Amino acid sequence: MRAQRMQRTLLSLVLRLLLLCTVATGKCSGKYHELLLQLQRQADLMQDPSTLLDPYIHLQGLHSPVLQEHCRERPGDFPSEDALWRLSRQDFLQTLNTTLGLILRMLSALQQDLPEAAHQQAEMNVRGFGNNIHCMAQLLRGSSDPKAAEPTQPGPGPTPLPPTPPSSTFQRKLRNCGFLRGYHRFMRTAGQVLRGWGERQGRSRRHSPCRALKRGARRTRPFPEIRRLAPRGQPPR
Amino acid sequence: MALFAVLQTTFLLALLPLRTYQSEVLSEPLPLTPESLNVSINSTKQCMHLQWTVHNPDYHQEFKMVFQIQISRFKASNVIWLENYSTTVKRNQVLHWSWESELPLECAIHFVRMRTMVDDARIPAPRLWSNWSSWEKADAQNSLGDHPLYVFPKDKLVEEGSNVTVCYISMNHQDNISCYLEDVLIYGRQLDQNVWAFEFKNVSFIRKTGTNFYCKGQGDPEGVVLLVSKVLEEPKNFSCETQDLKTLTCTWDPGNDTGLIQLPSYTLFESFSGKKTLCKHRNRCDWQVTQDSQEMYNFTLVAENYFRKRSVSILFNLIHGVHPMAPYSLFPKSVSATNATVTWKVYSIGSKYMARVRCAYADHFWKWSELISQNFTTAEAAPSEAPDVWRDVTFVSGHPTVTLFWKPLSKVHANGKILFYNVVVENLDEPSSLKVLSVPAPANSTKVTLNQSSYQICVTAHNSVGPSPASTVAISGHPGNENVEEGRMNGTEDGFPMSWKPQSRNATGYVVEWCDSPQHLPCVLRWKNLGPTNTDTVISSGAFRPGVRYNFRIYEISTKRMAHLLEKKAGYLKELAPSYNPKVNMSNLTSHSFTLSWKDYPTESQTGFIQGYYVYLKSKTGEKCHRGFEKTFLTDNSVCCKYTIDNPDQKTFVVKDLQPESAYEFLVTPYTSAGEGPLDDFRKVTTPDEYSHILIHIILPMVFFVFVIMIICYLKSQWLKDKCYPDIPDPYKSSVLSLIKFKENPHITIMNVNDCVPDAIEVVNKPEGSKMQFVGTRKSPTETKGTKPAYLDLLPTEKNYSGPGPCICFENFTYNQAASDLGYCGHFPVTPQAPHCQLGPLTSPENLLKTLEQSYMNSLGEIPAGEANLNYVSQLASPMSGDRESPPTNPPEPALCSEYKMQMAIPLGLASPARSENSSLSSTALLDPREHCH
Repeated sequence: MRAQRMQRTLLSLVLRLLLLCTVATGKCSGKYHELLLQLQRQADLMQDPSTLLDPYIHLQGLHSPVLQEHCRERPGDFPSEDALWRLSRQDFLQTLNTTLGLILRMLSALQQDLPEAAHQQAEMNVRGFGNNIHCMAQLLRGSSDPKAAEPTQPGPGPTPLPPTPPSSTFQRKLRNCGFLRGYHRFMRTAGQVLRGWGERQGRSRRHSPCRALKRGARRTRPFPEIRRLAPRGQPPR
Repeated sequence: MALFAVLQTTFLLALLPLRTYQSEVLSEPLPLTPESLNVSINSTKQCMHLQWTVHNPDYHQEFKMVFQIQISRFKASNVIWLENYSTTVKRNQVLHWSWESELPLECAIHFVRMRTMVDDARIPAPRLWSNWSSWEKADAQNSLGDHPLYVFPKDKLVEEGSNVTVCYISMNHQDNISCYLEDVLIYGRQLDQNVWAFEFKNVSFIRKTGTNFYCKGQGDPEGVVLLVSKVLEEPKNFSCETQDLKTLTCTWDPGNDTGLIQLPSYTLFESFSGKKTLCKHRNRCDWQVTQDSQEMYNFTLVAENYFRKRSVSILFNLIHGVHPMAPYSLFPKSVSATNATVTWKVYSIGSKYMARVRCAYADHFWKWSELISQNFTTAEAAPSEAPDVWRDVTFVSGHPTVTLFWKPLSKVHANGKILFYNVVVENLDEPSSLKVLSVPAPANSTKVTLNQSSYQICVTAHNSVGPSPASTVAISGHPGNENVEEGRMNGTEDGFPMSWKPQSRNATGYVVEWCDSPQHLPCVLRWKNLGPTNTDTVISSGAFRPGVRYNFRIYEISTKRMAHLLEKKAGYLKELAPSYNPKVNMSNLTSHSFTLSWKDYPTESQTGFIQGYYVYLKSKTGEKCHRGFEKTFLTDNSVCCKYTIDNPDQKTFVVKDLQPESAYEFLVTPYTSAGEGPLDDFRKVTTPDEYSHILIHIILPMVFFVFVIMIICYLKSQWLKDKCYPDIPDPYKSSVLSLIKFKENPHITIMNVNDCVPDAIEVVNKPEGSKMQFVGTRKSPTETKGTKPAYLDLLPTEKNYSGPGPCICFENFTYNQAASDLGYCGHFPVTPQAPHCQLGPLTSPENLLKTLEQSYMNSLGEIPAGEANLNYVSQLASPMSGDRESPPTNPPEPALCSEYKMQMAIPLGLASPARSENSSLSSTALLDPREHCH
């Protein structure tokens, strides 16, 4: 038992040191697919309500059906799914980065209202996801294609601000509940978009043919050629 | 005197109405209606706050009033609360009253009104309620928005076990609203058309984030969170210990968590030093041991949250609470078959230890053996720190006397038992002069007398191993600058905060000195050493007491260890009201004023900074207060006039505008920021009569003056007599001369005295004994003793004379001017008590006659005769015997008075014939003034 625990601890320590080393040195993986896969997995992990929303609902006593019904995402808290699909890769990453900053601020404000473990885990996830987005953006910026950074559609609007806390504790509970629900929805959408990047590999420069058909009329510019975007890494083919 | 008495009485009678007017008493008050009633709501505390004023023009001071307050809900007629609020009211004071509602104030419109009644024993009955004020509406629903549903109260903080009332307001009158308490549907009672209330009794703690109550209609749910706190428990197992004698660690069991995000606070307070610290943990607190070798600590741990405050205390001895640090460097040494020497190291030097040894088999451990123990003491080392030394310098006959004080070294720094202290005094002006004193422990001071040189004094603490590092102070042979203005400061709960401005850039430190108990001599000198970067500090001590004035002196230490006085400060930890009043001397008492003085009152020894004095004046008549005084009520409800002297240096006061002959009581009491002195020592004074002093000022000098005059008269009586009323008046000074001159009678004849030889003198006795006159003759005392007056008749007499005939009236203007003024001339009675005059040079009748004749003839020479039928007869009242047969040459008897009468004869119808008739004879006539003198 002790040996196993020791091994586990050592492994965890090594992984953390590696992560810290990566962050500290600023080195990013140059492997596009590996980075994309990591982003997809992280998004899948963060979209799971059991990581944040459920602990919050349990701690705040919001599990009644009546209240669950009104624990809804407010429009404007996060970019909509449509808006995310319309963004260029660079803009998408930029939007993700901005939204993660907002989430971090909200998590900081919710520190007292969340179970400590859930809060810490959620914060680490957001920071790790942000690091990988940073690396992906760096990878894309390293391509010679200047179009990679150009937006294909107007952005999702101004940088979202943390929702204004209501004066009533009860309303604040519902508001935070809706925000966390929106957070999970946003991460779920982000994962879908990221998966779309992988699905289009070798077929189309667009994220998804189906979605492209739906929104193609409004799109003026395709995603840039990934091969041309990542000269140092493994460009998608 | 009589005149004065009459005037005084008149004046007093005139003043009587004025005094009556001034003796006005408190009149019956009118009921006072509250004004400016303002109602506000504190939603967080569910409190309704009332504010109003009472304008009373008649009273300047406090008096008791009752305010009856009515509160209605939803409509004015629905009264839900009635309360009488009694308080003391000042003039134009803004009054406050709060009411906590069980029902959230947002759930209903509330109405408030009040009325008042004066309820003061000093105000005469009857006591009547005023009219009700108008209803004031408190409508918290005005501030609500346009949401269809509201639930109150928001974020209510309650303690477990209490009762809470919650309500909802349906703004659009929905009927299908369901409310839940933690998912359980509950039903309330309807208060109004759109208001429902839910009452929860004995609420319990559910979760840290609160209990949810919410209602749902057609839209989004609305709800509140009840933050229920568990009851704060008293800390248990409170104890303290130290490992290094530098830091104390106190621990306790805080008990169950209250369950709120807001944790209770824990504060550690030590009563001996007066210090406290806010603990960073809920079960542990660190306390820094001070350098002044405090061994006993009286700790009080206070746990406090929104609802409660709990505390526990322990008395702790630092030495008894040592938890030694674990030994280290444990090594077996010299292990033989049956012996093993084990060495280890310990942290503390010169300390007693107890070592206990037990054994166990290491290969297959099963149990420890029994313990064996052995005590030992580690060797001492030289003290590691210099003692903290300070000095007190006094100059006696110009020579400094230095008292050195030092603090005992702490156990950590003493490294053993301190045996003695060495004091080395070095004269800097004479380097060869060195003086060494050895002071055995545990003494902590010594006195050294120096001369007017500069000295350096080094103090070292010695134990059995050696001395400590030296602590050095330098003494100047001359007094420093003591003329530093004393500043004032206020103490706080933490002590006396103070700051100062450095004078020198090269200061090596600062020292603040004070006496712990300045009211008790000798002074227990305390000091605090501060580094050169410190320009402020807080002086705290467990010995500081409220109401005691503490004087602090701040010194700057130079590079040569010389102390220079920087600042003086005085302050009170907390000011108290003065404990006693000054001894007042009353002087200059008049009917309208008197002077009070209290020159010897020491303000430095008081329980607060004296800001001034109150002069209280009570009068029996309850008259109105004079200008400058204000009416006040004492604790015994008596009315009093109070004058405020706001200058503490003013120690005299003149009480003016008093009423004469009135009784007053006065008191002078100082006041501080905490209040005034005791009001229980009124002194009585009665103003004197208004005129008594005038009488004293006038009558006494008059009496004295009269007395002096009398003495002078007595001493100069002869001279006065000669001057004022000599025995023989000067006829030429008689007023008859002017009369004669006025008449200018050409036929006037001057009677030659030589020719006028009285031939008959008849003495007529009249019944009035008091009216007796001696005329022209001298009566013996036996003759004048009777009551019959005697008259001298110079004209031929006829017995029983009744018809008109000559009447001669004798008048002497010199003697009886008043009688002539009365309009008649006549026989002026001469009483037997006529003054006895001393005879002058004209005592001889003959000489006298001659002299008078000559003088008189000369004076009458110009008087015209014949204009009036008058015969002027000059008659000499000779001091001879009344008996005409007596020889005229008889010497006068000094006991009787010689009288000369200047007389005027008035012939009624007869003129000159009298001359012929009278030439040979003289007759006497009886002249009754009632019949003949008109």
